[in-house]
Amino acid sequence: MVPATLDLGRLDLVSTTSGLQLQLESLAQFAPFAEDDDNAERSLTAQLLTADRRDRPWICRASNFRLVLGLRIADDLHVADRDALMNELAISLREANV
Amino acid sequence: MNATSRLSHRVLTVRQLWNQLRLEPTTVEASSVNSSALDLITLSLNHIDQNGYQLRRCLHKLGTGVPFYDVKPPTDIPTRAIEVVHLAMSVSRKRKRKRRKVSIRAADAVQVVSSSAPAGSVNAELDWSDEELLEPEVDEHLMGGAGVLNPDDLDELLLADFEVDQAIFEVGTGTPCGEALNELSFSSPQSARLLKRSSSTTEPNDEDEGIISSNAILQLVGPALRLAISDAPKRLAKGVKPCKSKAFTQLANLAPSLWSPSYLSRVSSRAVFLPTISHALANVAGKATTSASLRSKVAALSPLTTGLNDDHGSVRKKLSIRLWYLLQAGLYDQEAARRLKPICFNVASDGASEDEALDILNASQQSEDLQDLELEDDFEADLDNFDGDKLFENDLFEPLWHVEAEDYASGVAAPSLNALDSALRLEQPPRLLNEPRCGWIALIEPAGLSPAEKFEHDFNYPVRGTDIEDNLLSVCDSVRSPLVTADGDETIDQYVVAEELYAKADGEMRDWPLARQSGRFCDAHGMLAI
Repeated sequence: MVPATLDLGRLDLVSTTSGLQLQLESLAQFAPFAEDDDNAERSLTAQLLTADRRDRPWICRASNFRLVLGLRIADDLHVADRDALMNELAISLREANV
Repeated sequence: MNATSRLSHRVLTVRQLWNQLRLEPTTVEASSVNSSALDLITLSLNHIDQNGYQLRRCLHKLGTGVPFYDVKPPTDIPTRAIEVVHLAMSVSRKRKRKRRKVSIRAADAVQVVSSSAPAGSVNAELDWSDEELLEPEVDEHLMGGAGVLNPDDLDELLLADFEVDQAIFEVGTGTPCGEALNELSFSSPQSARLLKRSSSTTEPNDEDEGIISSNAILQLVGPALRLAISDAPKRLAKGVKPCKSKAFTQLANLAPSLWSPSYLSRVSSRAVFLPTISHALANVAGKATTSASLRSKVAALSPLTTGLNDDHGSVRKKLSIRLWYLLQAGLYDQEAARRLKPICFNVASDGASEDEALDILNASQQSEDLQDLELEDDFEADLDNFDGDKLFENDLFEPLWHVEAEDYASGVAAPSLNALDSALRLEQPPRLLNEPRCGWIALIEPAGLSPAEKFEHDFNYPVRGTDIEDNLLSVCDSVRSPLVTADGDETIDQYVVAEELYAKADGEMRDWPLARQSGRFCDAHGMLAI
């Protein structure tokens, strides 16, 4: 069975101070469930995005739940210290558990 | 701000976010894909497992020892387990969008204006700054929550001049998410046109080729994460604006059990009663009662339970499902996710962020107990039940409520409550106290009278017992005040507010240091004169 995915859309952010723009795309991946692959995503979309909240399935956390942040910086942007940037980001998120 | 403060600031702000969500990262992996200049951070997130928190939240012994995240809906409720949330962020320089069209318009304006208007107005027409042309158009739909991708909306996305980064989804987990995204986003002719036009309209960047600081990027990442969770987070970073987003579904809307603060614990604390309630209602709906009225009410609750041939178990099952859906929908609070704490990375140069950091440090450094932070969230959630946002909007009480919430959470002594004191001293009820959502009580006691006598005298309310708290409880019930009572201090000999008030919110009694000050008795509907 293939995990069902749900495209949550995209949005753009702009910073008026730095002149940078960030495009965010969000996608949720659900554990496989007993439906054929063709219908899985269609029904998932219908259930989770269009159905009334009173009729929605219960969404719970899978045991291996992960949040994946992908960061791509345009080629024409030269970050002062890219490694430090990613370290800062990773450490900040990890330190929530300290 | 020194290095230690910045570190604490960073830890606290992120920690607060995770604690509000009752989540904790167990592992963090960072990787990069050199071929595509893509960096990935993968966090494994678990629910926070804290017995102390659960014990305090548990309203009934039925829930004792049951983790708040161990929620089991009735068997016939469809359940989906979410495994991965991908957030793909692409940072680029803000483009001069539709530049060519603007130039044409400007040329047209020259022609039109030069033929019919004074020369001075020509300059006015042409004096469009780049910033005006590039001013982001704040999307109304962004504040409206989820929607379905509309093909017409895709054209709006052209303006972003981004190309979808499939690799972000593909590389992250080795799953076919990228293919799914491809199908979802680019399967239509409009989408294909989007890609084509997007690549053709991208102009070479003629901006300054200066070096971008890490902080400039992190300033966007934090708000982006919060906007992925909530549609309109409060205190979004200064200078950061969402724009051009349509058909975006926030995580809190999709899966509130994970991304809406306090939602799961509130569901959990109530779900334990569902079997009992559905059993009782099934008895009412069945043969246990001959009351047509009761049976009709149960039937109104769930029309499916009116089948004459349904046995008790079947009716109970249907009622459980119905009650679950009511519970699931009724406890969802869109405002909760908007109050998620901002993520402030190491952006020490930003004045606003630094101020926020100091506020957080001042309120939190005195306590490292994570449970206290949770209680703050609960307290805020409880305030929502009283529609407290109206109260927060008031200049007079905004600092008071925030300070008290934080103090309550951190367990430190209450600071000066000048705002409340001033309000209590006023001869006429201040405007705020007449607001129906003002939910607190202060008690004053005169010299020469016992608290009970004073209470009876002032409020013309019969004292039924020796405990003044009982009487205050009655008054509070009568005015539907969310807060309950004051401590009757026998030693008080002047017009003094009892030092300790106990806040009763959502069934929980909490110590709430208020004030020792002259005042009046206030309730949810205003001020009761004495």
